[in-house]
Amino acid sequence: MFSNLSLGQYIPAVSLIHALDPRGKIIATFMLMLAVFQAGFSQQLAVLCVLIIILILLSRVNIKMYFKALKPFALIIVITMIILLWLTPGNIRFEFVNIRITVEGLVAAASLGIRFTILLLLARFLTLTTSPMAMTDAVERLLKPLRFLGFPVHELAMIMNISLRFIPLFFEEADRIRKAQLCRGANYQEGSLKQRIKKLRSIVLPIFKISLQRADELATAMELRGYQGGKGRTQLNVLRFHWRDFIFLGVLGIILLFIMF
Amino acid sequence: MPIEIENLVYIYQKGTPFEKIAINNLSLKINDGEIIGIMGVTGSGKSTLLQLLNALLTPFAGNIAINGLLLSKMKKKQLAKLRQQVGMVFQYPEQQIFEECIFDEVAFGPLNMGLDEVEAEKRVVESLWQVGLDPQLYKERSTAKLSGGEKRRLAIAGILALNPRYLLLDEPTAGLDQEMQTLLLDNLRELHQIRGMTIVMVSHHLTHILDLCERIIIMDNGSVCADTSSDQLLNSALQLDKLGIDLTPSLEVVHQLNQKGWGIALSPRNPEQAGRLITEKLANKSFEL
Repeated sequence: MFSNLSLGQYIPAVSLIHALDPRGKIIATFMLMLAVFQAGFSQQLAVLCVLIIILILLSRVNIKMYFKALKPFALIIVITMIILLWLTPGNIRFEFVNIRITVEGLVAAASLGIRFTILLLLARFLTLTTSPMAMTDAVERLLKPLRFLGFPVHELAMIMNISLRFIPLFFEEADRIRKAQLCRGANYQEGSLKQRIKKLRSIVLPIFKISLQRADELATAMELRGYQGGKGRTQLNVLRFHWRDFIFLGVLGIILLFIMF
Repeated sequence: MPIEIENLVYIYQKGTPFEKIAINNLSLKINDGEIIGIMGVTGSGKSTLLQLLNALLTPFAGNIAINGLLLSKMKKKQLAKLRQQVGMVFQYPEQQIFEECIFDEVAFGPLNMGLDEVEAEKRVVESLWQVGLDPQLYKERSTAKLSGGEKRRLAIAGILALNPRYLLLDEPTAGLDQEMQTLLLDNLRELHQIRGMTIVMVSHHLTHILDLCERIIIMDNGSVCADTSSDQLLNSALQLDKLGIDLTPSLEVVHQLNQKGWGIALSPRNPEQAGRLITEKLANKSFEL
């Protein structure tokens, strides 16, 4: 159940994409995401698809790992596509009993399906090729100007870092507790919705207890090692833009400008 | 009801860069009423094997048969029934405690089995006795007020209340102080004597395994690399060293002396005997250092 989730998973590999500065990757991903929203359902979207395939291949991460990200959202995408297909008015292409499929409906459903898939693949591209540590460093650096407005940039980055680090552990714990309760005859798949929610108490309560305990221990351990927030704290890995980052962002920017305008 | 395992294979995160073969073509037979200790370095597949025995994981290849019935052919309801027969105590089982009161915590399993309140209460009382917690004193207490060792025993009571024929324990003594460890091992020994249940215990502590188990299985890289009696195991200390299992200081002394030809026989449950023999030899000066 929980073990199949691969949220925020990073796959180390030797590739051009892995070697890029994480700030560059975040900027590139956001640029591509904006382009996906802006692109019309035409050659623009097709070129974007090709671009994303090239990026995926350059990352040298098994393609299966990318498509794993789509699995949890597949049902939502398909249902939304069906609704669009069913409800969009226009020129009728096919007709069965009471269901009318229009050309506009087909275009809207395909467009949404493709855009949704690309967005998920892009998010996956960023997390699969960027370690959580690098990601939070990059977020901290990118949001640095907001510090002057009193925004707690370092604290936000630290929260992100800890969350990314502990999400897999949280799911592992949840899986262990679930198995332990299964061993005591718990059955989470039978009964009414109310009964099932009530049964979840045997997983949720221990998980809360463990999480709070872990958070408390972590906070104490950080304080004991002199952590007092971002003020006066230096960084071990200072991020630096290299020529490859400028080339990557430059080439991508030119392609996107060319596609969009 | 023996457990027969044939050519079992289990792989974590198959098809990903993190793929790991946890169980590799493992075959084993666990006889009725045995106390078996499983040892091995971290990542050797001990805990995975226990979860496979309880059908919490589905093997990629191979079979597990309990009393001749194949786990792979069982339906969900049959598997749920099987889990009542094969009780499993996870590592740090106290973390699974969720009820406010001790009685409710132990009764969780029996009530899931559909037992009536009278039978459930009987099971709760019996199980609490068997883990050394006086039901009169503990039954109504809050689970939050128990010590670490008591919580551990409470969690084991929760499994015993299912009245299992097999008890699988994953490092039951981890994180407990010496006194609690001894108490827990004594409880397990008594349980074996009273109920005659088959116990399979995973542990990193050689002394605990030697203290409780008649048969010891050593795992390495997902396979069984030694299946021996505790007596025989002690005489193959070199093999243990190779497998990354540390000898206790006293066993190390005996082993070193035996290498010099002292010929001290080791009995797993009678380490004092070895001490006596050493003292005698020293008194008679019939030794060579």
